[in-house]
Amino acid sequence: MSNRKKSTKAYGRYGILFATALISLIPFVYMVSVSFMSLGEAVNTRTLFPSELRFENYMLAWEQARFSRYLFNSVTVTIVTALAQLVICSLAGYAFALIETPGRQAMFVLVLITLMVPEAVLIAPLYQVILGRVFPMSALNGLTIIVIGLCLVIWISVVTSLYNNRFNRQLDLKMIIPSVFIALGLGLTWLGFTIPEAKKLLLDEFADKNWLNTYTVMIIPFVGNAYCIFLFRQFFRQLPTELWHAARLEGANHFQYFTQIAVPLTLPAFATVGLLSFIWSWNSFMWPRLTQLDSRGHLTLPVGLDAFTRDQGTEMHLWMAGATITVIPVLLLYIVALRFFINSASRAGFKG
Amino acid sequence: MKNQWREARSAGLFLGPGIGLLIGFGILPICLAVYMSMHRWKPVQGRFLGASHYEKALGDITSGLIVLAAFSTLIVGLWLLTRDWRQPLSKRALILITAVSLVLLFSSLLRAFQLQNFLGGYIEGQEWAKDIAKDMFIHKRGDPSHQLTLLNDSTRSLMGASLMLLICQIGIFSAVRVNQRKALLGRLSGILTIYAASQVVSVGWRKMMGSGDTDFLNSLIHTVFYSVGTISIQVSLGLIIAFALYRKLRGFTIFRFLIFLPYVVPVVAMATVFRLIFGARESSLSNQMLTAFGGEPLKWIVDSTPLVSRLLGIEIDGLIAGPSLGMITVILFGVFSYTGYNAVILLAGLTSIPAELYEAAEIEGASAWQTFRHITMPLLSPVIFFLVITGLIGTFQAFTHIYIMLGPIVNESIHTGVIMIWEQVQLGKFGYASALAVILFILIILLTIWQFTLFGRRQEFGE
Repeated sequence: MSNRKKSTKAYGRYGILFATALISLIPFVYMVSVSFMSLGEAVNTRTLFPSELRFENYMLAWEQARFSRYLFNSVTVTIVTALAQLVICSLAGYAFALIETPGRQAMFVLVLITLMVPEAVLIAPLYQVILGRVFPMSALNGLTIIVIGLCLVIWISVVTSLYNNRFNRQLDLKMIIPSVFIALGLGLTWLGFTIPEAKKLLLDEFADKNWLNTYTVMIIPFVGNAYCIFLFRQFFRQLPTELWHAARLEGANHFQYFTQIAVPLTLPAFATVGLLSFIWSWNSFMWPRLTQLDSRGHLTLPVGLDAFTRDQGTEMHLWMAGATITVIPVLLLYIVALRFFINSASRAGFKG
Repeated sequence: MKNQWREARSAGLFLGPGIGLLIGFGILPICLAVYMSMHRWKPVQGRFLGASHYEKALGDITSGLIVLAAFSTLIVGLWLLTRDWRQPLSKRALILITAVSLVLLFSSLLRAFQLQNFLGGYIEGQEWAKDIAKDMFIHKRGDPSHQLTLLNDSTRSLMGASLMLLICQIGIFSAVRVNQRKALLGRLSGILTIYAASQVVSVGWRKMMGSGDTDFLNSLIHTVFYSVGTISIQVSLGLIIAFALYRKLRGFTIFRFLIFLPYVVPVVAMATVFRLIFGARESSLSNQMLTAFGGEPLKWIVDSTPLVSRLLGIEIDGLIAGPSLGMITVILFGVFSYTGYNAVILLAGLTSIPAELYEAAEIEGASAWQTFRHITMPLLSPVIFFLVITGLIGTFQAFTHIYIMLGPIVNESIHTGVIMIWEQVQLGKFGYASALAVILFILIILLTIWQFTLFGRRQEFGE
């Protein structure tokens, strides 16, 4: 009796789960299948699946609709933002957690205030700032390179300290995350100096003009992220204070303690926050949409997709190809690191 | 001494870049937003205007403040109604509550008397009544349809009365259960407060609609539709899914993977897909499904008729008209992309409830419903509260998917607050846009505070 009751209950559970899984899959299936259809099929769908797989849709989206360019832009902006955010926010979070100094509480209140502010409140005033109507913005054009340089210096010191650590002078799993970031940073720099077009883009960042239509405008305002600072403060507070006292007796200063002990011990935290900043930056739409006006050169994938759907009012099969290109990188990361995704999302939430 | 200086120096070096960027791109823009909202600023700075942008948005500021105050009183009334009356109440709070409820009772009686008087005059066809009708019941400036708005008003009163009856019954029922006279009194005063405050809110709101920016005020109503629709559906669906995922299950990882998937993917891509699925074409996927089940194809995202008018066939507007089909499509997208997140968070909450409690309940012979009501719900309520609060803050900022799903079409019924701000920025009216943004920000903060006064006290929140 109770056994049968249990089994019907299990059927009910599976029913609910199958239905939900199906509903969350349908839009993906629709997206992928329409992306392989011809235009006629896409406009007048009678079947869910295409009669033949047209890979040329992707070629069209990739070359004519410039999705290759958008992908490059998205990757650049996302990596630089995540890298800079991790370094700058972990430094600030460390200071909030471990350095006793007057005025710390007041500054932390500032952080908590910015945590609550919606992006919509910021767009109008920030836009004025970007245009240089409040402050001569072109004076700050070098800011990007300062921020990125600082980040690289700190990442390199972390990795060397990890490598020189007396106990494991070999490459292990812990080192992968910082090394990947360093490799990406160096790779981007190298690309910037070798490819002429990229070099032009890089020089363009420092031209004497306002910040409209640059990469800088999509990166710098988001580097000082209140949520990241808050999370890093929580993580660094979990370290036992005895560690710091012991290190100080040995004569270590804060920077040495930070790079050689605190960061290696909290690498999972870096993965969590890094994933969050990756998703935030990859999905970011409102601000890039506002600040990338004339040129198509700097559009990221979401903004590029939006611009494409506005220009090409009817080419739905190409829209869907573009949407698939936008989704795939995130999807791959999600498949590889499902656990990290759920962990990060339950700490902060990806959207709004 | 030297040590202290060194600490301060390293603190400066560590905090400098982060706090500098945060102040430069977070704190200063807020101050600038307030400054800009007080100036003519389209698209460059003009003369000082004071509060006139706010006046343009809200009608007159006094009625806006009155509405806010009445809303706060409404929350007090709700708090009175749902409070646990077995616990003692401080004397000062009691006096305050009595005073507030007396004032509101008086004003509502006054209003009822006025309304009766006015209705009599209107039916007899007197000129002064018609003038008042023009004055009071016109929603949009220059809208000649008095009778429709009058109908609107009487429906609203009717709904208010029936709502009051319902709340009365709930109050008396629960008071009898507590079996205390004090509780009965407290609950009744709560009901009166709610009724009177809602009357004040409706009158003040109408006044604001008469002289303010109707587009913006309507967009606030749409935001409320979106917010309430998505949050209620996604939390309850998330609860069901969390229960289905709870305890051992074959294929747990794959189900969790699929259910969490819509939350992860970029909003822009999914909103573009939804724009096609819920397109107005007859061959869009949703319309094909409808026709396959023998239904009529719908206009979905393009449709702007409010739900109640569509069902009853009359023309009304405002809060009681309900969301349009376009707004329901937007809500569907919200539910689609957030339910998985809610389910996963609720599942984490469920698994943290200790199993001993359930065992004890089983030994005591508690039914499934009793276990749910007295063990699961109380222990899960902090998680639900967290989801509702974050959902509220998030939905009031909703922009990207609504913007994408709108595309080039014009459908005012899904314009939310942030979309209005965006449009003003696009028009180059930066001063006005900042004023709207400041209003929205204040609203979000107030909503959070109200939530905390209503439910927060009953949760034990650990940091």
